[in-house]
Amino acid sequence: MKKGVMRPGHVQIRVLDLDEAVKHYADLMGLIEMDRDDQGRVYLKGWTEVDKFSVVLREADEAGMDFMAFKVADEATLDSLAQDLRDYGLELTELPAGDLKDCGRRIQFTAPTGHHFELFATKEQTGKWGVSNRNPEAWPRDAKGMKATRFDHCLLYGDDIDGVLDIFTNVLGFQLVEQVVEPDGNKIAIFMACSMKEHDIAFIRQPMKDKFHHASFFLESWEDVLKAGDLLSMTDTPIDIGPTRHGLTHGTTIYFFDPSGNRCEVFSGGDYTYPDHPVITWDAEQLGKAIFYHDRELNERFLTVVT
Amino acid sequence: MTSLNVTVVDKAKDTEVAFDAKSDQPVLLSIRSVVGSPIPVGCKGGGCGVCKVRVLEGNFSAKRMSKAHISEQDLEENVVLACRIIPETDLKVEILAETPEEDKS
Ligand code: FES
Ligand SMILES: [Fe+2]
Repeated sequence: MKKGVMRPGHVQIRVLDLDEAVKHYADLMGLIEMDRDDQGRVYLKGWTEVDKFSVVLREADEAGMDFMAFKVADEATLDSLAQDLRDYGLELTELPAGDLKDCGRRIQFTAPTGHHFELFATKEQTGKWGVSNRNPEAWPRDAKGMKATRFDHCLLYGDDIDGVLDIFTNVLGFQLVEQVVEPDGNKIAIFMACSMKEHDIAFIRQPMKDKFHHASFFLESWEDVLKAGDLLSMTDTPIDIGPTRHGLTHGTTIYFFDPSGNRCEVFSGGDYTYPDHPVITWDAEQLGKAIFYHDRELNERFLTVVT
Repeated sequence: MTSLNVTVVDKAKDTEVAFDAKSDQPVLLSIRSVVGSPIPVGCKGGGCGVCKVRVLEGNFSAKRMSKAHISEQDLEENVVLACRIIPETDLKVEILAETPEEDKS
């Protein structure tokens, strides 16, 4: 049942070299640099996104994800969800408005897998980049590189994904859309949505805490995914796999790495979800096909290379 | 740019493999072999720890490496990430590939 969580709001990614990272996310992937703050963080977004930013890059001495945030319907919803999380037994940290530039207060909690999540209701809306709200043109003519349209989801690795599933579905109102299960019913992957998409957040069970597999960005077409692959070759950027298709979600995809080793994905297509849809289940023995529908086997890096 | 020689010692397999490395880019990126790399390849960006090696001989400079995988002490012991070290002389390195459980973060 929906509880007022609308969509992924932002992800803060740690990078080892800020300038290299900005080149990657802005010049190559086509995210728009929107702002910087006095901590040196860089704020970016895909051109179709109405809020001011969806990606925050922070230079640090290790790679990985600081936190991922979801935007909720309004401030009252934020209060009630915070209370629900507290009642569930989670400790919350409240970050004041302005801690992230032009973003309202955020409620942060740590999931049983060690990942940090946050909820917020307010962020400055600068509107879609390069197109107006009135009689809009189809697309901005000066978007760069892959022209990534929006931040779409993250895939994270951690141990207690059952604990995560309980919080996201029962407290935050997400829907379990797809899962990978072992013969004994043990879940090894969960894909969850707060929207009509196939996933807004996904987890794979691995014996580790707080690991970042990838942040993903939406492209309009399979041909855009192919051309993203061309751009990766032209810029000698490490490709992990693809262009190919996922079994899970059925989206077309390419995985690659940013200059600090964080994995990025751009993808197009994919299935949709209504609240009455039954959960789609993949058997663990079909994991290869579930992840990479054509190869039907995992590449070595899929399970081992994370930040 | 000059071409330097990098020797990779793999104690587990009891092998020594050498390849040519360029002096202007990280060691791991010089490996263009189609038959597979003698050093495990991950993210190529200093983030994942898969390409961890100990430099046994030779000089190098290093780009920033994730401290989740390379501690201060590692650095003192010449334990580094092959995707982040740029050779200044011929090098001899030993593979120390990390399993995920060994992650220091
Ligand atoms: S390949 Fe990931 S740290 Fe070198
Ligand atoms: Fe994805």
